[in-house]
Amino acid sequence: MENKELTPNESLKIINEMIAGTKAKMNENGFIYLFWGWLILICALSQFILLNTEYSEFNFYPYFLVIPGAIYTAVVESRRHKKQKSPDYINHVMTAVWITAGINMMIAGFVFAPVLRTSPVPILLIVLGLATIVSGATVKFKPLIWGGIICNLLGIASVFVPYFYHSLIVIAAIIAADLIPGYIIRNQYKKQNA
Amino acid sequence: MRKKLDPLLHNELRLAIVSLLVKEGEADFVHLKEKTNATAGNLSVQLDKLSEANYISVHKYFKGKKPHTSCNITKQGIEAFEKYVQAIQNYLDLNS
Repeated sequence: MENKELTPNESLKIINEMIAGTKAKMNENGFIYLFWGWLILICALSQFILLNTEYSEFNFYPYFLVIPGAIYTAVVESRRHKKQKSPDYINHVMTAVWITAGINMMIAGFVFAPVLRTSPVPILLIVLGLATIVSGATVKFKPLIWGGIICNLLGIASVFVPYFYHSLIVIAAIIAADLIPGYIIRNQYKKQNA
Repeated sequence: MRKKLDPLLHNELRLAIVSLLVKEGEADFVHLKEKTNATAGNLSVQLDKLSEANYISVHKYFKGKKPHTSCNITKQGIEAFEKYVQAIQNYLDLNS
């Protein structure tokens, strides 16, 4: 690349090549995906175990763990934002998508489900799928896009499956959308910083 | 009326550097060199110019025994880039 004067068309071409042509840098170590992946997996597994015991009426209680989980995430993320040296558009999009998806999933789980007396799992999985696909598309990271698509498909499938098995569907979805991409991101981060 | 184009950004290599940093927020010297196909000397000179104008901030540090240079876009850099894109758009609108 030289230091020559540019025509407006040449300028646009450079901007386009640089902005559209490169893979966005994943400025993360996968922690947030792994944290939520394991947290939801523990909740769903506990729910399935409770459903098989005499305490089945309390099967939804493990999901109250997401409230301290959300508070912890908010604290960790706000600290990370303060530390960041420069504004980063991609981080901004990701934060907005996940805060909105998180709030909507809590509304579905803690308001819709008890009021409508129905399983929140189909709604939870399509909202999780949407946020995961948007994240994957923003950073051009295929494992997240595929994880999101699997999540969406499992959301549709859950409508046709009895409530008793919904926690197992959640486990499958969380492995596809959070744990597998999370471990891939962590391995890439480790390699980059080796 | 045609807006004057920012002379600091109206340069092939500096525009490429700033565009890339607007997208990625942060990039190291090797990555910038790879993406722009510039020579190390030229890249270094242009980074200094952008840093003097406070469009980017440059941090030099050691990773183990190797020296590293990392560049970040500043708020001022993003604003200048947005103004530049707007000016180019105006220019193209006037000529279409």
